[in-house]
Amino acid sequence: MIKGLNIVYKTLIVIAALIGLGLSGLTYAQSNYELGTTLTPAQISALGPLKSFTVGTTTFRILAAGNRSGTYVINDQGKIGICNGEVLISGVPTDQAKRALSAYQASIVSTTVYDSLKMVSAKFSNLQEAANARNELATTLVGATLTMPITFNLPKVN
Amino acid sequence: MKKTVLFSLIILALITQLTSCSGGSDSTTISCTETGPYACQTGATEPLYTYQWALNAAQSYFAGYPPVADGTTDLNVEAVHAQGIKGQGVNVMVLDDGLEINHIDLKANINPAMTWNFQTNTSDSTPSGLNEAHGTNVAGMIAAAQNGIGVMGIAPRVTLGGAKFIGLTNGAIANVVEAYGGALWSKNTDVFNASYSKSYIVPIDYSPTSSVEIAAVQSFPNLRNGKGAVMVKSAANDYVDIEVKENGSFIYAATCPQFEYRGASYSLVSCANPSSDTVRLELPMIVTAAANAKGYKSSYSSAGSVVWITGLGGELGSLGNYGEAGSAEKNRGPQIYSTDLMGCDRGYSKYGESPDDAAQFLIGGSPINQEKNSNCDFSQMNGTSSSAPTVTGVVALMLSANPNLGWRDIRDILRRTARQMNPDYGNQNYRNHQVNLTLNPTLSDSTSTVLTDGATAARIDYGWQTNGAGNKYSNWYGFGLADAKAAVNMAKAYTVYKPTQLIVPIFDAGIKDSQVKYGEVKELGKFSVTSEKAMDMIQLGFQASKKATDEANNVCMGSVGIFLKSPQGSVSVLSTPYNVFYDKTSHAKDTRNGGKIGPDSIYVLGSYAFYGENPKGDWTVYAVSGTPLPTSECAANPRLTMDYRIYNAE
Repeated sequence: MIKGLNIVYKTLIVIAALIGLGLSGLTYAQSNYELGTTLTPAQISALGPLKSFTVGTTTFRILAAGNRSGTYVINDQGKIGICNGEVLISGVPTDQAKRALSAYQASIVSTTVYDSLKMVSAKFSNLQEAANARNELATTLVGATLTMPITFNLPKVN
Repeated sequence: MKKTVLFSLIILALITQLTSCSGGSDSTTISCTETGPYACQTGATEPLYTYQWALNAAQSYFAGYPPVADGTTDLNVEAVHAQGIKGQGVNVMVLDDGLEINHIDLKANINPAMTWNFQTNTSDSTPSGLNEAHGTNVAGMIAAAQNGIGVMGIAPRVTLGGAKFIGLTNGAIANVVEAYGGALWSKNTDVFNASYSKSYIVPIDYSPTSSVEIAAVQSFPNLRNGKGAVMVKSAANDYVDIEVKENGSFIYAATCPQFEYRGASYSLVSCANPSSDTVRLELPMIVTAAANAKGYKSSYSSAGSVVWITGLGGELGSLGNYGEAGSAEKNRGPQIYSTDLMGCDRGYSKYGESPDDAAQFLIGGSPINQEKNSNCDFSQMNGTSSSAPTVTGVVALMLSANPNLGWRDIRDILRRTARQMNPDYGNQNYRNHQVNLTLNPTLSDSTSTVLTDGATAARIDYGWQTNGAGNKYSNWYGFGLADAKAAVNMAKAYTVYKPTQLIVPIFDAGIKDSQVKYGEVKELGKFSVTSEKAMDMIQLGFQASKKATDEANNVCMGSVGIFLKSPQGSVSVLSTPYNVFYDKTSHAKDTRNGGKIGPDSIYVLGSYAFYGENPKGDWTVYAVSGTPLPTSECAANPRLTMDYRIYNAE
């Protein structure tokens, strides 16, 4: 009896340890995201189902974490980047860009016009809506360059 | 009679004045209209000028030390300063780890309306970190004032702006659009200095749809009321290896293979290719390599076919009293003297520095330091971080001489006036020998430049070449060393301005599903161009071809060198085999896997080597491939698909 309890006890300890290890791995992934590093397939699987968005032909998955600069995402290779749901329009007059963005007013948090560069930036309430708007505008706003900035690496001094 | 005498005296006085303004050895007499206490004078008014070899090599302290300086290599700026052209009216923006706005040798030139701190979101760009002296050093090379104190910048009367842009903490990321001319404080910038970059040990996907930096740089032509701004950018210091860091701490060095020959090993490839940071593929970027005081590429300066120009950055180690100890052959020699964070408790000159690592000038409290730099307000710094601001300074002088220059004109003048340096480097240190494309690469005795399909050896360095348009180009030096006097003279005479619009061409289909053969030279194929417009940059975009089966098809670009031959017969090495993607150390965090690219990512390379050529005709693409490391597990017999685009030289 005691021996049997001991086996059960030991088994429970092993299971608890395994769960703990798994959780610690997950916790590690969530709390130590560093731009440019790559999550392994196992680490990504441990995160469960992830929402995604597509920019052009590239799909990004959204990690449930972020910092003051945006939300962490991973690309096809599992590389970690950060995105703040901004869409940049350049290559067309800023008035034209602003008119095009008016169709997405309900999803836009703020708009900034950079007259000197002839660029317009619109920040959306979430990444998926930003990506959808970016992709639609890329086809409808002829001559414009549409960018949804995602930062994967920060520069260092040379 | 009195009138005649008076007239004669006036003429004599005028002649005397004009003569006093002639520059150095310049035989022509040039007028100078500068006013003020330092009017028409060179930097000889500054106490540390003798150490500023990049401004006047012949008269510098280091001219007396032939092992580290040849006494001739400089930027040829004195004649320009003697004309009174010192950057007046030009706005320079230093984006870096900060800029000390109250520095005694900078503050006279700083415009407080042109500074910003992305860490604190205030206009005080002064960094808080004790070692964040990089930007203050960069700024001084460009803009240290002529005031009888310390050093003098190449453009000592320029208007200076700057930002704490690099090295932000607590999750802060700088707003690139604001920094690159979008904000009130940056929008009047004429020339940006970017002594920073991103280094990669694995290939990255070329993704303009998600790169804010590319979007902003492509919008530079809108600045300056449509004349366009340029950004002078360092080529990086990754020739020997890439120092991999985490949270600012060194982790390991990502190295590249050496090439064995007769019992010795040689470093023939630039470990990192500057084009890996894909923003360097943008035309408004003036990618700048570094040379030392001996007139040779600095040992660390990354090389590649997107280098436009060379500035002066000095050598890796600067020892002795001021940097005169050792020899350039051993990577020793003077660096670029400049402004440092003020005080001996911070910056690069400070208490506690070791003579094993620093010249006495930088060691707080040493006798030399006490005599020449007692407050530790000045220092010296190397790197392409230093060579870039030397070119930024030259650009500021050009714009001061002719504010109407557009961004293409600036590039054009720099290119046309650059001086070829070290013309025979391609034949030195066995660089002209073919490389045996084996697992442990060796050099062969052959020096043939012929690329033969199926050959197991090939030259991987062509040195300086003259292309079909008569332009000399080198992956080490770009079009050569910047020459301030020649550039300013051309700027003053410039009357036919180039269009400023930047048209980004789309990629055209080039080569489809061509097999790479590791360990061999393989002609991947040809593509035909019909345009006859003189060309600027050509870019090639590579993807691993998709296979009909589930069989993996990744291509290990660490092994694959891409060589391109133009219809006029010029050859450019866009990437070398055995680059940084190839190797792998035993360090646990070395994640390199041969530089695999798959079908879903685009690997883009560029080249300026064909600048000015008529591109019409057939272009030939070669894969010169080494043998991958077995641990890389590269797919056998992979195939590449390639697209191309050509920017016109307007």
